[in-house]
Amino acid sequence: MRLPLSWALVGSLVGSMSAGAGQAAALGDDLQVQARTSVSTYSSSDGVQVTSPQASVQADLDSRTQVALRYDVDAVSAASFNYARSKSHSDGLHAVGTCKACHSSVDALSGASMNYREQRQSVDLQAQRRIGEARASVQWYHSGEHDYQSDSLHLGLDRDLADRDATVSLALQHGSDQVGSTIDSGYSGFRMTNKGSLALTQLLTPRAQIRALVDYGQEQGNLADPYAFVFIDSPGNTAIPIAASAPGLRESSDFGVTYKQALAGPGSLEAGWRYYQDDWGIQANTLDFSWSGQWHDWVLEPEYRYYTQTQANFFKNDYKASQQYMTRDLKLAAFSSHWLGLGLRGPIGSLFAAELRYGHYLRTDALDYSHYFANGPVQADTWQFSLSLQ
Amino acid sequence: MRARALVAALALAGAALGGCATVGVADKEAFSQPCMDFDKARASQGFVDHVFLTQEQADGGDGGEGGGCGCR
Repeated sequence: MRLPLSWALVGSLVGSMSAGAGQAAALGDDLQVQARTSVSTYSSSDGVQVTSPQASVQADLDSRTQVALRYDVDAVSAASFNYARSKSHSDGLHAVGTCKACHSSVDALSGASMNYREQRQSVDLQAQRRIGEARASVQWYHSGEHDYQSDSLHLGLDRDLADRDATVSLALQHGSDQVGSTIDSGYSGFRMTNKGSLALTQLLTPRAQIRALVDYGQEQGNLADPYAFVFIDSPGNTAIPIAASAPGLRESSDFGVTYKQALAGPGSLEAGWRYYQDDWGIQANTLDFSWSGQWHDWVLEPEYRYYTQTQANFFKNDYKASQQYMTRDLKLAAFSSHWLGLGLRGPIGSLFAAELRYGHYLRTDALDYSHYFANGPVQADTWQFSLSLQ
Repeated sequence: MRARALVAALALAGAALGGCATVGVADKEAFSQPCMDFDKARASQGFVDHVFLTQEQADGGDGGEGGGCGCR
C-alpha cells in the first residue's frame, strides 16, 4: 500500500506540472515560476527502505522578491529483524528464535526500530528579498511523524561587497522538537536547537572562487534517543536493558572551506574540507570532491566524499558497570565513511529538465557487531530522479 | 573557546582573501554557470544530506535540517 500511494503522489505532481506548463506561458513578465518534482529512494544493508517523493515551486514575484514552497514525504520501512533467524545470547540460556519473549519490536541495542512502517511529511516555506546589495531571507520548516515533530525558523542575510567579488552571509536558526516514543506512551521529550553561521565567498580569479564558513550550534533538552538502550555486561547480571542517557546540552562548532574552479569549457571542479568538533568529544573531518562536465546536451557529475569521526567520550560498545551517561548509538561511535555518487542532468524538450543521480554509502568501523542486530557496518544505495519545469 | 578560534580563523581568512585581485564584470561569465553557484549546486542535495544526517554526528555547517525519522 505504501509504494502505490507514494507513486500516486508523484504521478499527480507530474500531472500538475504538465498542466502548469501551459499556464506558465500565460504569466506576466514580472512573475516567473519554476516547479520541480522528484522521487528519491534509499535502501540499506540493515533493511531500511525509504521512498521520498517531493514537490517544490519557486516564484519570482518581481525582480527583487522570491518565494519558494517545498513538500516532502518519506515513506520508511524497516524489516531487517527476523525473529526466527535472530542472534542468540552467548550465555546459552536463550535459544535462537526466542527473542520476542523478552524484547519488544524495537532494537534495544542499536536504538533502531526493527520492524516498522512510518511516514514523515515536511513543509518548507521560504521568502527572499533583495535590498540594494543585500538579500534578506526567512524560512520556516516543519517535519512531522507519529513520534517526532520538528519546527525551525531560519533567518539569513547576504551582502555583496567589492563590486560583487565577495559575499558575506549570516544565518541564524532556531528549532524546537517534540519527541515521543512508540514503546512508552508516557514519554514526552523536548529538544531546542540554536545555530549561527557566518560565510564568506570570494572570487579569486575569473575562473575560481572560494567559500569559507564557520558554524556554532547548541542543542539542549532530551538528547538521548528514546529507543536506545544499553546492557551492563557484568558477571551475574540479568541483562536488563537500561535506557541510554546523554548530557542535556551539546555545543558544537565547525569550520569549512570549499574551492570551485571553472573548466575551460562548460563545467567545474570542486574540492571541500570541513572540520567539526563538539563538547561530547567528537571530532570529524570531511573531504569532498566533485566534477561537473558537459556531455552533449547533458551534464555529468561524479562525486566522492570521505568522512571520519572520533567517538563520543561516553560511548562504549560494551559496558561493564553503570555510569552517568551511556550509549551504544552507532552515530556516536568512531567510524569512517565513503560516498560515491554520479549524476546526469539535462533538458527534455524546451520546457523540462531532468536529473538522475545514484549514490553508494559505505561505513567502516571496528565495532563488535555481535551486540547489534545489524551484521556489520551499514551500506546504502540511493537513487534520485527529478523533473523540473523551466 | 574553539568556536572563538574558528571565528578568528574565518576573520583572518577573510582579511587574506580581501587582498585578492578584483575580477572585472566582463570577466565573470564563468560564474553564471549553475555548477559554479555554491547554493544552486546543492538544490538536489537535500535527500543525500539527510542520509548523512541520519548516519553521522557532524551535521552542522551544511544547512542540514534537523528532526525527522526519530533519528536525532
